[in-house]
Amino acid sequence: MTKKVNIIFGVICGVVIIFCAFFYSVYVSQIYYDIQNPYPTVEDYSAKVVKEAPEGYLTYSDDDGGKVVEVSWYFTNTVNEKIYMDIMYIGADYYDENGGWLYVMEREEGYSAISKYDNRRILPPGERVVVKEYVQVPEDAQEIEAYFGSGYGQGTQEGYRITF
Amino acid sequence: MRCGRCGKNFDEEMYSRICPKCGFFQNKRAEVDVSQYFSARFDDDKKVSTAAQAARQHDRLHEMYDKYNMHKPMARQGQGGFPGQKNYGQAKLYEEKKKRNFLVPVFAAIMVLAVAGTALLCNVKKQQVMENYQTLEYERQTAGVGELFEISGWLLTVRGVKAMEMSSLPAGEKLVAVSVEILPANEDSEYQDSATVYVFDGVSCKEYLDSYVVEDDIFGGAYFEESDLTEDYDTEEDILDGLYSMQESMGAEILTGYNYLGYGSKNGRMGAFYFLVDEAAEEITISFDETNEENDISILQKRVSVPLQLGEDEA
Repeated sequence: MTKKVNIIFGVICGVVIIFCAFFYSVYVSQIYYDIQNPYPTVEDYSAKVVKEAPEGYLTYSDDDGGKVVEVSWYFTNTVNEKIYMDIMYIGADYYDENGGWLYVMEREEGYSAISKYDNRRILPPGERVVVKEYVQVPEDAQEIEAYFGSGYGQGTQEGYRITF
Repeated sequence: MRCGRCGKNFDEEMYSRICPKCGFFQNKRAEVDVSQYFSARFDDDKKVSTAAQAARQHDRLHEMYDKYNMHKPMARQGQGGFPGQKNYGQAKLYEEKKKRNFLVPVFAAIMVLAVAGTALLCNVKKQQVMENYQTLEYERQTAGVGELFEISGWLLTVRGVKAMEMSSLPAGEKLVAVSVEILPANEDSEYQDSATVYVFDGVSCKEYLDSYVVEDDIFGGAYFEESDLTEDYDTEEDILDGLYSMQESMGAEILTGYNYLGYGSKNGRMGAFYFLVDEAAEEITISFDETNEENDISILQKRVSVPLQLGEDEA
């Protein structure tokens, strides 16, 4: 009886130790997973209405005479990890005052090319860069909102109110 | 007989040489079969005067002769005994119970320690990793064209930069080649599998153009078959063709972050990093990072930047 009890306790003890080791390895893996795809920090941002997007950007085909707003994001990297600045990864989602989704103008090369070449666009630790996006907004709009984090990066989920 | 301690006279045979007054055992023989004596006398209440005396005598006898631990509560309750006695099995059970009671708390303690230790280790590891991850302190240096600088123990110099005429480049970008000379390795040189080299063109930071795949292709690795070059690769194919011809004309190797501080540079190397930069850029800055691995995190230790004017002659 005593032997059985000891064996049972021994087995439970072993299981607990194995579980602890497993938990530790999963926990540590999760730490590295969480930090290996960092998101750039938004230091500042500004916006201005421009006549049109620069050469190489596509205009939305259903353009109803709205205006183009150039939004400049000043990003910085404050961690010891290189950030890949693929526009598909770091780009924001824009909404007008009524919550309507706004069109962000794409590059002419298409997404595959953007992805291919933007993969060489990086933000090393300690560096600052400017990323410009061109958004088509209704003619009478004075303010839009931007949200990061809808891509496959985690993002900040923080909203930015942009006036122009 | 007369008690050696209190002087009381008593019947030696009747009391088996144990004084009924003080309980002193009149030991005159070298060896006494205490077990037989004990069981014969103390299992029989009639042989002792009082229960209190019996208990005292019992204790004293055990103090003097017992190898077995008969003074535990169970022994007092009649569950102890010597081998061969009817209560011996119960004593053995007591010993087993004692063992069980010893192991079970040990196992419980190990489990508690394992859980607490894991929680502590997780916390410590997270703190260490986050500290390494979030602490950005590095040495920053600026070097001029033709000036020697050190990265990971290697001595390098940037010779110059050239803008390349290429067709089929991405809109708004141009190709530049930055010539770099790597001096032969010395005793301080640390071989690196991967290092960060990039240019800042006033808007973005861009990594060197080549990946190891492209490098293989350029150096005759034939990584891509002709049939693999789909429409997506057309632009890259043109770039590669151009790079290949440029490499031949310049007699320089194509450098990447994967090879420039590798064993291939042991005896020194002259080569060029290629970058796609903003078409309007007149001045770019190439930077070389030196990192140190800690807790599986590359910690930036040093960054050497070399500002370059496009069209500048090689040093």
